[in-house]
Amino acid sequence: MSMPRYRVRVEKFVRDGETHIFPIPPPGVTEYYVVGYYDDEAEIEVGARETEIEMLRRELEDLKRRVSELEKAVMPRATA
Amino acid sequence: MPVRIAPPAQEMRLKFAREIPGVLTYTLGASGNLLTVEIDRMRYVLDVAKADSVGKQNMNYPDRAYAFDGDLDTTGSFLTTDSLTYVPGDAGVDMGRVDGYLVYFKVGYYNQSTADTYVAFEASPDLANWYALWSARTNYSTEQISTAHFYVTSYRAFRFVFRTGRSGVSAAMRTYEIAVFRI
Repeated sequence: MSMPRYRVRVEKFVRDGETHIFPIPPPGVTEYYVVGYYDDEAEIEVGARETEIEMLRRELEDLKRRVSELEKAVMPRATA
Repeated sequence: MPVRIAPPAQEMRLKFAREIPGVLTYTLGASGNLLTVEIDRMRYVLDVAKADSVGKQNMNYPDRAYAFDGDLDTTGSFLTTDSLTYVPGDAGVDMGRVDGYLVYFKVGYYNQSTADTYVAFEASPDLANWYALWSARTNYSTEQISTAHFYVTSYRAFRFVFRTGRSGVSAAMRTYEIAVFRI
């Protein structure tokens, strides 16, 4: 399962004299992995859960489409 | 600054931000306390108990040695925070110099209410600048466990940080292991 990659901006903040550099992930992303930092940007991969959710959404859309197609196929017979 | 980590799966593919000649792909699997790394069809078994980080001082909490005891199953009590900004987690290690490291971690985290807990794994080249390599958030009130691995060449120190997403609601985390192998 390949994970989607995003090029995102990074935010920097200072706390207790240390500078922290964090990617700003797309909305809704709950887990990400950093592939690399490039100046003010970072390339990240979103977590397996997001990937799984996306796959399930696609499967759900496919199922909805199939149900719709089957319903259309059945309807004429039911009303004939 | 090649970095790549993988999801908490039995077998995790690891790539590089910059291609390393001769290394197209490598996978890492975890079984018990052993990590199996396969590079170009050559298989290497890494024993967490023999990681270069074992026995190192925990730079965040010196009294919490479990994160560097070489055992993926041992951990300690949850560390909690009400801070809305990141604070040090329960574990961190300074390997002393920038080098090529394979880093594997296992961490548990949850939120004591229904707010978000944010936990991040950071790496530093100089102990002054800390780059997030991995981050997760959860609003579950039961412990979520994540594992990940990286191959890095630009860092010397590694640690967890965490925070809560809502004032007055505690975030909780604990490290099982940060295993660092000098490669």
